[in-house]
Amino acid sequence: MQQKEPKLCKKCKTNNPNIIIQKDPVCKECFIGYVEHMFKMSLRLKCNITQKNEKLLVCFSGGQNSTALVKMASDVVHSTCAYNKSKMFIEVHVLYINESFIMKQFIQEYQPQDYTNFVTNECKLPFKNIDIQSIYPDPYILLKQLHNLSESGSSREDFVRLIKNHIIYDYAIKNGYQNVCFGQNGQRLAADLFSQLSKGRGLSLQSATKYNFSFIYPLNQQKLQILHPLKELLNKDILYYLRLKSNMNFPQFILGQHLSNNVKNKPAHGNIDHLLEQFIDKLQEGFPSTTFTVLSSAEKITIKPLQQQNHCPLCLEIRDQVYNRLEVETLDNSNQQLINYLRANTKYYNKICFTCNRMLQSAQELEKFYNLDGFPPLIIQLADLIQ
Amino acid sequence: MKIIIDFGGGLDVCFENKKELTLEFEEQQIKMLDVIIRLKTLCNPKKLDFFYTQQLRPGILVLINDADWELEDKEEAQLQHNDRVSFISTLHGG
Amino acid sequence: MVKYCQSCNVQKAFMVRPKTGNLICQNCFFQAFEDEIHHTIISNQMFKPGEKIAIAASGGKDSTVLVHVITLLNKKYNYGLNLYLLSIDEGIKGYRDDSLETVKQNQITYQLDLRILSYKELFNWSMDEVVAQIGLNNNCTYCGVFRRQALDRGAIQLGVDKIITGHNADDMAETFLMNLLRGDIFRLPKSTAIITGDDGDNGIATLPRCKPFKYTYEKEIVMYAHYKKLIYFSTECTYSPNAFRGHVRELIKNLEAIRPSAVIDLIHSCEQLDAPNQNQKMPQKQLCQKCNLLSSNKICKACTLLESLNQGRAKQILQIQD
Repeated sequence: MQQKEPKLCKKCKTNNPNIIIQKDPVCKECFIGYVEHMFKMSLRLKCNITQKNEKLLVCFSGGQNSTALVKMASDVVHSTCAYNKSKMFIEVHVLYINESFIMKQFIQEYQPQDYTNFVTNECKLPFKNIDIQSIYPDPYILLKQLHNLSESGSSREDFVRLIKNHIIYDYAIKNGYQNVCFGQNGQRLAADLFSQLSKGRGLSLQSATKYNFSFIYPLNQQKLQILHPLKELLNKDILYYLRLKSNMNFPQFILGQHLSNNVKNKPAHGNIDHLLEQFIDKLQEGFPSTTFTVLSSAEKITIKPLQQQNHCPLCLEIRDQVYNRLEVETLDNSNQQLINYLRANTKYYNKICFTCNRMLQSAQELEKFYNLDGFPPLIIQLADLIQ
Repeated sequence: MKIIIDFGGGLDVCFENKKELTLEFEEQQIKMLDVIIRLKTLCNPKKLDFFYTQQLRPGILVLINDADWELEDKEEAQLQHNDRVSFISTLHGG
Repeated sequence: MVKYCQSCNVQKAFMVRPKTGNLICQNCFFQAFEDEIHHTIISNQMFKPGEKIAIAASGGKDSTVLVHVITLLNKKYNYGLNLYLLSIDEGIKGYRDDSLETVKQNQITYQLDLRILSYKELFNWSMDEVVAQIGLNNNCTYCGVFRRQALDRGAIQLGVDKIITGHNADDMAETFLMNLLRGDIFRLPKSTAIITGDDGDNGIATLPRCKPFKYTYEKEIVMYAHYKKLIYFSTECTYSPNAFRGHVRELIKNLEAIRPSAVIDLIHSCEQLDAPNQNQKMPQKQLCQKCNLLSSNKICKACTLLESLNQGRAKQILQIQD
């Protein structure tokens, strides 16, 4: 057999390499050092977390990315990083939105998970757990809404996501957090971007992928900043980091997969988000520059100036401009009748953005959705406030 | 020869929730491709698409004795007796 | 149980509209299909009465339906257009020579003048010869650049004002995603532009290219051709597209299977985008010093590629660029 020249870690030049980062083979120790350094730099330089005692709300889902995020944040706060131990004086609070209520309905063999031990004892961070149904006066309406939404096309998952976002923003505002931290790594951000574009959200080309993106929360005009400090890392980096740093078991049940449980014979179980993840993962393997090409173009592109900046009460994003009616409707009678009916007979049809419209379009009991019938008071309050 | 397999990131659901497996091969020379082909036969058909598209699903991190298989030749990497191979997936983790 | 058309509620439904999932009968489908293309033309002020228009005709489904629908709408709504057929013969044996027969058939059916230009005549290279020289890796780059230029030359010869092409909604969505994946931020916002090439900066105007099928699904074009019994040529180019584009095409088909509106939704997304900031330099437009056609460099892409072919060093050039 051909004898290979022994490779050495590109950084320390002493140890055997274990993993490749940006084409360079590095050893375990240098890898951890690189990830920790990257995280601190992202927070300071890209996310502008520079003030002493700045408060950060970290959104944790139990998945791999946000687990890594919580772990990194914990090391930074407690100066337990493996290499550069310099401490960042920030306050980190972990928020978990418990979806068990929905899970139990869609997944028979579902077993709830308790993350208190991981966050409170292992990571020593303050932990807040909110049930997803808690913002509904009648929680069963949430289930009914999910069942009424089309099973294919990620509508249900989009709906759950927007309810979760409302809870997160509301919690952040009420508890004085200006910075909300999400765990998506760069590869996931690229996939999310493609997914959003496929659903018509061109306006989010920048907002969905920036290190930090701020917007004014309509209810009390306070500024909220959304942070993506893991943007520089790839899926692989997160997996290897977790392999070395944590013994966490990851949940077996992924809500998105089960919300479209009966969708057979469609790519990615009828789930757009998962389809785009698969697409980006595949390209990333063949063309390793994919993620960063996409993210850097997203940062450079601008959006057309809008005449008015109105928000959509469902997703809180800016309502986008329609430049031709064929983007929204078709000219056959059945479609025209439906749209005319909704325009005339529902209260909020004209306030809902293009993409949320698509989410609702194939629902049963459309009028209820467009009248925000049974929706959480928080959302109705926002809808009435927004012009 | 004997190869030890372990699963991370939830991939154990594809293999009857086993986190670790031992594969026995009669051949003295095997490569990663042989392991992947063997695992496909053991994978729960309902969960097959977590693990396998046409080849191993893109996005699964593969480690041979804790080192990225891209350092060797991925599918072509030669394995030794008692090597440990880890498969770790993202399984749409959030 | 008999299912009725959801548009007229009278006729029996014969298909599901890919755009909406609604049941529709043959007549209502034809009507909506043509109305939507008419709407696209009118709302974008695509034509002026009396204009001379070249229809880029390849003999494939898109251009065959385009010839049919434009001829029909021109009469029905009195656009007052003078229509011509313009075909490019890339010189691909067993592919283009057969499809050109279809175009000749169209010429007879619709009584239009036809002009055919070949790569061999214009550039002294057929695609078969190009592929023999450079292999199968980058041939689509050559073919695309040459076709642009060939169409321009043909249009100038015919003395037309505009060229219309059969690019459909799926093609637009594909271009958008390709430009994003390539990081081509200058082309990105224009990926789905309905009229291109008439910007006229630096006082240089080139012939406008219009795309009346911008909002028309590929699937509906195939259905329309099928039920109207239009004859078109349907073979993939023998030199298949590169792997990258293949992935994107497959993605769009998958997306459509999951959420049929995704094709239009991608177009809507692209419409929200604008050219990058002023401080990011846009390539300047000028006239090519060799062929005198519009270019973003001193020598246009077609002439550059041609020169490299002639010197037999095309392979090296492409490798250096990568």
